[in-house]
This record gives sequence, structure tokens and C-alpha cells, in this order.
Amino acid sequence: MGEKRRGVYSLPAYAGWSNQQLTKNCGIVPYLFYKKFGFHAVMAGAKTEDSYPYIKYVEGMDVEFLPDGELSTKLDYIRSHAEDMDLLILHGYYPNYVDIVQCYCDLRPDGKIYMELDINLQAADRTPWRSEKVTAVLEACDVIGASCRSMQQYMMRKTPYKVEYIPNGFYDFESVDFTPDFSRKEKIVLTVGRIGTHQKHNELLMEAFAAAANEMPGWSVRFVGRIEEHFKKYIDNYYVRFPALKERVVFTGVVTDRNLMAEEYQRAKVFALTSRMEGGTPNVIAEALSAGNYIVTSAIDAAEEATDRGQCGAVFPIEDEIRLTEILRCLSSNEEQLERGGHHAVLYAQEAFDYGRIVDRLYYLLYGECGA
Amino acid sequence: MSGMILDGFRFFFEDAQGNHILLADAGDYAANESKALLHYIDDDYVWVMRDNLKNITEYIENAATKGGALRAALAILAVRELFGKYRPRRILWMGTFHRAAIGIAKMLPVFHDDNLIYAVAPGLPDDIEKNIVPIRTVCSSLPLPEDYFDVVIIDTVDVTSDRMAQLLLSLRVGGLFIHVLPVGKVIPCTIPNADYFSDDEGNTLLRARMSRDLTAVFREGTMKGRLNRQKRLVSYILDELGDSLGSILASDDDLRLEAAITQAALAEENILPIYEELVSEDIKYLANRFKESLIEFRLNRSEKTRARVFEEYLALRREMREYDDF
Repeated sequence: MGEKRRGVYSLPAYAGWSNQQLTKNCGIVPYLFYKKFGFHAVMAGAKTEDSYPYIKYVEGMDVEFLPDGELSTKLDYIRSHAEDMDLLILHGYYPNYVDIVQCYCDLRPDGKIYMELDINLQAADRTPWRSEKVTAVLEACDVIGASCRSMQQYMMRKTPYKVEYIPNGFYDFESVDFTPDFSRKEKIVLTVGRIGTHQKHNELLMEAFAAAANEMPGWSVRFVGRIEEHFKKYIDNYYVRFPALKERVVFTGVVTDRNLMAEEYQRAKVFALTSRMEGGTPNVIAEALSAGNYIVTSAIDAAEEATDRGQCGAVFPIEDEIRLTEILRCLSSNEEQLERGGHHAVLYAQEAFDYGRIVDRLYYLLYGECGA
Repeated sequence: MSGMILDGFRFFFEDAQGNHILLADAGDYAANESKALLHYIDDDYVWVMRDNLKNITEYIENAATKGGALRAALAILAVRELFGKYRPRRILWMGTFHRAAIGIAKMLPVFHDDNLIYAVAPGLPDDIEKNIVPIRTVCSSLPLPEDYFDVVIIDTVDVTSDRMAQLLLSLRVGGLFIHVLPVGKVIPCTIPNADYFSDDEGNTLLRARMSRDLTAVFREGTMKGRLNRQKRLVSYILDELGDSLGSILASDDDLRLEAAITQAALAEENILPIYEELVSEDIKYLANRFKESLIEFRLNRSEKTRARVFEEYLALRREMREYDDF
């Protein structure tokens, strides 16, 4: 008999996982524990979408759909799988994790917990870090990770815990290659995410581009991702106000094929993020960097890392349309800066956001040894 | 948590191992059981305490003295044994009615055979208990070793501030200091049984009336002496590591590198309990970054990762020097 195969389980704070989360940090970390260290990897949660086409990218990891997203269902699941749960991955501090952690620790006192604390400053300020419930969860964790330096620093100052820097990185799934060919890059400003949410503040980019468009000949903006229903009216109105931009401001809708997604990144010279807030380093930043995009981002907590302190990007104050317009205008006439920044972005992504390396370090923190 | 008074309970503090300790008068505990301190401490501790307090009560009741401070001292020892590692304890007991020390000494073997009281009093008798080391001198002339005693009790003896500093330094990290003052010297308490006050060094003292004629003053593990010792320990670890960092990073010896990671993690662990008392807010953060850089170098050896280790080490040491005078 060989040694028992260790199990890693990722449980959501909410009901279940979205398709996209399978190839984001929530899915990549357990997947890489399977791929690199031979763990039995499982993402368990309720089904929240009709289909999960991204399952094909994480082949080898089990995606188990629970009958519902109730806490009691998750607790039952832990009870029936505790023996295999050598490592439990949790995502952010949420009150229902109190019971989950208690249940897991009772059944597996020898097990390990990794808390991926993907949090932003606003949420951190509201969290009672020294309350009984928060303490009960965080003290049970073997590793607590923050995905950007500023949040790690904040947490180290304000809480009694050790908080490790575990950024949301980038992973080249098999058959998907983000490596850019700079000679084929186009004059495109790309943005990826849920389009039209208050958080993403996409209208800022639309308005800034409208203001700069005359001085940016040949440039276009591409919005990739599901469009919020209420935002469609805003888009229609935008085209009425700026009919000349109909061909230059493009909404692709959802792109579920990772190869097509990779193509979007590879074509673009600039990646723009206009969010009012983000929980740590957004996954899209690591993807954009690895495809050689020059990053233009609002001053989110992770802005400094997203641009490698200005070496491959520019930062504007949150909600500052004028500054964003200036940056776009300036970049469009500065090919050299874009290309230099793009090349730097690729190297920087390999160094700082390679998920293989990040997970190696996480494994070391958890088990005190190299996993390979 | 350096000390907290709760209705019906005497003391609540953290011991050297980081355990939350409830020190209660057994009678009070029985009377207030329904007011269990679940809000402040884990259920387990409450229940463990309840079971063991019965035993402590018996020891106390059988002791030769009924003095409140002595009961407290014994209970503290008992609690420490219950939660801490079992090892001999050294207790320095200065200037007291010697029968009290004898009474306590009779109970000490219950906790550990090698527990010792170093009793300092000029008139100690010849036929003394085996757990008492008699030191027949006056308090002020006793030479004191550093970092030696687990408990120092000054029982109604006047000491100068210089002497007080020496006594504090004679405590081990996390040791307990008990100063018993005649009631006439005590500032009136506004809270029944206990209150807090600060000394001129900024240490928070917890004072509690332990009986009609004695008041005990407890200085907890956060006192300046402990802080300084903890800082010295961190400095020592990092100095050692700094001296050999160049050769460790230049060699291909993974074992040495892993030892260095362990040492960096140890420094980080020792910063955790004191980080709130440091002037710099970032020493804890920078210690973590230093450890992270060593792990990164272990996993990906390159000139860049090697250079980062030095950068992070220097950043940490700079911060320690500039802000906290380590």
C-alpha cells in the first residue's frame, strides 16, 4: 500500500462557484496542488450557473456540486469528507466560516487551513479583527494570505496575525498561451470583467476615451465580459451621444473560450482597470501583464504592484476622469513607452505572478518543505 | 491581554506560553459560576479551570497561612503548572513573615519536586523545609542573577527604584512579579477589589485587594523588562543570521538555507507578542518579508532572489534601529 493521497478542498463563502472562478485564484490554487504535488483536489459548492465550460481547463481537479448552498449542506459535506480533507482552502473572512472552521477543526485537528484573505481596505476597516468570531476563524488558519502588499502591510499593522503575501497570479493552462507577439499588437485599450457594475466603473473609461478619441487616431476600446442589464441603456445612450465611436468602443460580451480570451489580451497594447475598489490583486492584472499589456489602473490597493511601481503602467486617482483622459492621450502618442512597458510587464509577470512559484511558496509555508 | 478584572473573578491574564489564565478565588468562582467568562476566554479554559480550581482550593486551604497574597501566589504557580510546561520553578521570596513561605513550600512538590523558594530574610530558622533555600540577609544586599526566577515576590519590603529594576531583570521572560504592599501605602481603589494604574515607566499595573490587610500588585508579562528581553532575543537571532547570511546564500547547502528560514521565522514569532508595543508599525511586516525572501530564494535560486534577501534584511534592520532602538 502506498501513502494516502492528500486531499485539498476549496469551499466557497457564498453558495457556490461561478464558471470563471474555476480559472481564477479560487480554482487555480487547488488545481496546482493537484498538478504539482499530487493532491486530490476538489472545489465543492452549489451550482450557480447553467454550465461550467472552464472545467475542461482544470481537468484532474474534481468540481463537486452540492444540492444547495446552505451552511448545513456544507457542514454535512465536511463531515462526510473530513478524512480526505488534509487541506481546506477558505476565501475571505465571512461569518459562516465560523461554523465551517469549527466543524473542520473538530474532525481534523491535524488538518491545515489556508485562508485566502482577498480583501480591500474598505472591507478590512469594517471587519472587527479582534472579535471572538473573527479570532476563532483566523487563529485556526495555518496560513493567512493577502493578495497585495498594501493589504498585507495593513493587516500586519492592525491585526495580531501573521499575514503572508500570496498574490493572485497567472497560470498558463495547457493549450492556452498568453505569450505576446509585440509586432502584432494593435491600438486597443482592453478591459475585462463584469461590465457595468458599480465596482468596475466602466463608464469612466468610456467617457475618458470619448474625450481623448480625436487625439487617438486608430485606437479602440474593447470591453470583454458579461454586461449588466441596467448598463445596456447607458451604452445605447453613449452611442447616441458619440455616434462616431460606435465602431471604436466595442462590447464583446462573455468570452468563455480561454484561447479567444488570450487573443484579446495579446492583441491589446493597453489594459485598463477603472475599479472603485478591488479585493487585492485582480486576476485580470496578472493575465494582462503576462500578455504584455501596459497597465492603466485606478489607485486600487494593488495599483503599485499592478504597474510594478510605474515601470509597466500608470495609475490615476479613483473616479478621476480627467487624469485618465490625459494618460490615454499621452500613451497613444508614445509607442516606445508602451512597448518598453509591455516587455517589462511580461518579465515582471513571470517573476511576480507566476502561479507555479506562488503555490510552491504557499506549500512551503504550509508544510515547511519544498513540494517538488 | 495584560490583565482584566471581571465581576466575581480576580485576575485574567496571559502566561508565557500565551495561554489565557483565569486566576480566581475559589470561593468567588463557586459563587459566580453562572457568570462564566465565555465572552473572554474559550470554554475549554473555563472548564479546565473549574476542575483544577477544586484542587487548588484544597492546597490553599491546607496551607500554613491564610494570607491573601500567599494564596494568590500559590494559585498562580498552580495555574502555570496546569497550562505551562512542567519544569522546576524558581521563586524568589523577599522579606516576609517566614512561616508564609514555609506554608507555600510544603505545597510546591505537588506541582514539581524540584520547585524551590529562595527565601530572603535575616531570621530564617534552621529547620527549614527542603524546598526552601534560606538566604539569611537583607533584601538590599542580595546579588541578583539576570533572567533567572520564574516568580519574584516582594512581601511588604521597601525597595528603591534601582533595586526594583534589578529585581525585574532577574525575572525570566514571562515571569511573574508580585509586590505585596501594606494597605496604608495603597492608592484608594475605585473599583471593588481591584484597579489599574500606570507606573512612571508606563507599565500597567494591576492592583487587587487580596485580604483585609494586604494588597497585591501584579505586573504582567507586558512589562518593560519583558519587552526589552524579547527585543534582545529578536536582535540576537537576526544578528546571528546576518553574520552568516552571505555565506549561506553563497553556498548550495539547502539545509543551511532551511535553517536560516527557520531562524527568520523564529524572529518573526518573537516579534508577534510585542509588535503592538514597538514604535514602528512595520517591523512585523518587514520580518515577514525577510522570511518570504529567504523562502523565495530557497525555491528559486537566482541573483535577483539572492539580492532581495539582502534588501529585505537591511530594510528590517534599518527599521529596527530607526524606530525601536533594538
